[in-house]
Amino acid sequence: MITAPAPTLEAVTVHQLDQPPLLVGAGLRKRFGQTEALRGIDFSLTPGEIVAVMGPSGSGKSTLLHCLAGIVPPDEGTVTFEGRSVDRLGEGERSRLRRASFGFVFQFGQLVPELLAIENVALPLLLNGMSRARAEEVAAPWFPLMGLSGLEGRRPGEMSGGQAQRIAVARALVTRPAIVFADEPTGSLDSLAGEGVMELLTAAARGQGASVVLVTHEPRVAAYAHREVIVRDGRLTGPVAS
Amino acid sequence: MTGLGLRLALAGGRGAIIGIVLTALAVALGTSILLFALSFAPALQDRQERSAWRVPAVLLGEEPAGGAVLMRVVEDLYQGEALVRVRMASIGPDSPVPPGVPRLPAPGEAFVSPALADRMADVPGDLLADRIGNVVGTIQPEALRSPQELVALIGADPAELRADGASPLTGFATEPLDPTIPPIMVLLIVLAVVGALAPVAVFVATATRLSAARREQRLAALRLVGATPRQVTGLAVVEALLSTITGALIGVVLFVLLRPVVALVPLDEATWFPEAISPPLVAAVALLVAVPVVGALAAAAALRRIVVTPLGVQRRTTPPPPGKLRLLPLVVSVAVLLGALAFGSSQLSDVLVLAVLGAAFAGIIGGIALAGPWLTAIVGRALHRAPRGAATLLASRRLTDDPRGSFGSIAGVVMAVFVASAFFTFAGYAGAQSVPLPGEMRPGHIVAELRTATASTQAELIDRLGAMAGVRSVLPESGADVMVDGVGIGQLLLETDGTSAVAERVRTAIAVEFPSSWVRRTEELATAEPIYTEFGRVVNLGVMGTMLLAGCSLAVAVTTWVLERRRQFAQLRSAGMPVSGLRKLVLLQAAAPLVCVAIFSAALGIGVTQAILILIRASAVPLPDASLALVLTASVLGALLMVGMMLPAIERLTRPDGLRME
Repeated sequence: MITAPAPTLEAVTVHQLDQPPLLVGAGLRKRFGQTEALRGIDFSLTPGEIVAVMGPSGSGKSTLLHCLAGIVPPDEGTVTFEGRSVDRLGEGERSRLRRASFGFVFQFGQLVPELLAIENVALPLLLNGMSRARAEEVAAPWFPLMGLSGLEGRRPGEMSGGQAQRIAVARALVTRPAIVFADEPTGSLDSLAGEGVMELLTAAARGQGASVVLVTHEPRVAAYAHREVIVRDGRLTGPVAS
Repeated sequence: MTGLGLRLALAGGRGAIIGIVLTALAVALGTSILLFALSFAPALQDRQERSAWRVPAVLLGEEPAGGAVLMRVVEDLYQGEALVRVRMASIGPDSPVPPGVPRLPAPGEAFVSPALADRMADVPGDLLADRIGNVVGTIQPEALRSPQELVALIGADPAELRADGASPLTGFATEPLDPTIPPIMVLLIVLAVVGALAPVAVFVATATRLSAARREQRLAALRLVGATPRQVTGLAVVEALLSTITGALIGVVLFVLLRPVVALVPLDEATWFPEAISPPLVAAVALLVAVPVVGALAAAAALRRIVVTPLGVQRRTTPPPPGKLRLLPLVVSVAVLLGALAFGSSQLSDVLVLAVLGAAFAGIIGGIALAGPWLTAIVGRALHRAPRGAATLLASRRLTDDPRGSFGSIAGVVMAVFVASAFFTFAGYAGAQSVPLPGEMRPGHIVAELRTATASTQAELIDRLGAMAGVRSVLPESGADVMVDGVGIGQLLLETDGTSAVAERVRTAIAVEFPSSWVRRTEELATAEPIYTEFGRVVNLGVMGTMLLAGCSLAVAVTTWVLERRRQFAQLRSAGMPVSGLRKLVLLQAAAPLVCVAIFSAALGIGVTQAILILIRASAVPLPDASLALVLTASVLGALLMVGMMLPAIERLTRPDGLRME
């Protein structure tokens, strides 16, 4: 059962480079038909670290995120999370891992349109077997924290893009995951709303001690990370100091 | 999870609710059709049990010591309807009493069915009542084949019946005779049920697709946040169960509501008692369990793509084009059907043979569904070779890239065309079953066979009939001295003014003198065997219903397709494509495969049916007449009209505000 201390934006941990890596991808290769999306990528993430994965469109950065998150298994290479080999887990086990240890914020389309905002935030808890009343009780404090007080009863279609993304951030963090994977989280927002979402995402992640893998092509968004890596033609062309 | 599944299913907005309602309605239709199909055999059995008493099954060659009855059954007509006059006389004490009456009628008395009592009350006695006698009671339903049956149980003098050749009976049969429905009709009924279910299945599939895109998005989102494949499948199954269980229950209600209407559809010259149309309980329960189970399995199977990966919806790839192997099930099914007929045409009443034939027919319909995308891709490639503009190019690309989806829209109509072609060919065969007229019979003529006639009684009757108004001449065809099985049979040919009133007066006058006589008008002799006429009527109704359902499927499918692509259409419009171009695109991609595959389907339907009839009858049968061409053309045009009705909405649906992302 997930315990639920009150969410906070105050940093409880600071990432430490001397700690053993939380997530490691080694020699990752992935092909879709004729297209080789990843051509042998090595990647690691330490606890509390925020890493921005940058690169031009079609470079393979989203595929890297999907492989690291256990959404798509790599054709070659390994993904290890807390010492466990993610790529060897079955579909069900990977789903449970995503539910318990990972959170996701995508560009759009990740909210369930039929559910109210509070139900969307509570969804991972419901999937974990928590009762609806308890799950909503745990989800409720995220609304004032995300600046969404009063919007609990709205559906995604009744909210602005920025509000919907903040709902997605709350949902990604409600299970207190170890890592949040964010794929172009501000891609469909204007710069002001985008900055608001990024500030909340990074602050809340820090508040929970979560690491963040942030896929973006915007340097302004990448600036929220501790470090940046660049993917080009399916290869990591080098870490860039933050 | 059940609660979440229900919430997701019901909170999906108007589109999702319409999808659930349409699916439930389609399932309801299918369930009620299957319930009627399951009820057919019990209803037939019930009908035969009710009329078993009229069959002289318990015959005694010698005079019994105890009670017995003498019985003579006369198959008469009144205004073209069958009128059964059962003449009965008691011999000895403790004579058996037939079902449905409290006692045997005394000579001159009669018990009549309610329908006959109504007819008798409506017309003068010389038209009908004088044939029956003094009515002393009503025959109860347990002794009637149908509620509308005209039956009279008439008390007679034992000596008269003995002279008529009747033998004594010590009891009445309770076991039904063998079915009176020709085996080919039973085969047709099996095929009709299969044929009727195919468009229903397509309608279910189409209705399910109505909110499929939204559902896929929702379930993929759930997978993304960590729902396991089992949880996602569970949610989809809950949603499928919601519509299929509702549909199955509505199907039961529909069955009960439609039962009195279906009971009015005559088969073998008789309607049905509504309560007799009841499926066996075990089979009905099994069906009601099977419908949701099949629905749930179908829903689970449809989710394979999303279950495999949470990005299943986002990462769409063009699947490989359908190959020629898709034709294999169709070819195999045709071969099985014809093979089963070649080896089992003499055993059409055999349940196993019927089951194989029904399964093979279902296989052909399923085979069309499998082969359809392959044919659609061919049509797309042909269209691509002669592009005349952006709309044609886009339509051809859509047909070649997604032939399965494109065919899915028109599948209902194509299957309905196959079913219609097959059954019109059968109906053509049925129409050819008319009995040829005897050479000298003309309109207005009446022919009569007088049983127990003598030369003098026949002469007296001729005088009396000759004096009747409307009778022009009465000619004895053969003298009453002709003896058949010890009974004198005389034949008369009457020329009348052709009105039915005169014919019924003649019939009544003859029945009064010679109660067991056989009297027929020219038109009654020239009528096709009623069962085939009834079949033709049912085919027309069935084809209309099937086409209507298929048209609805097409309209739903096209609407869904446009709704799912409103964003792409809005982009095309903003890129300069006129609305007329979009309309042409929608129409073209429905019309091109529809016309081509429908022609293939019609040819297949006619060809398979001809082969079936040739194998059964071992002779050539007439090709369907122009009415089939008319019906098929009207069907295809009607289907296109359904698409056409959608076209005006394209302007509204594809406005540039459809370009918004969320």
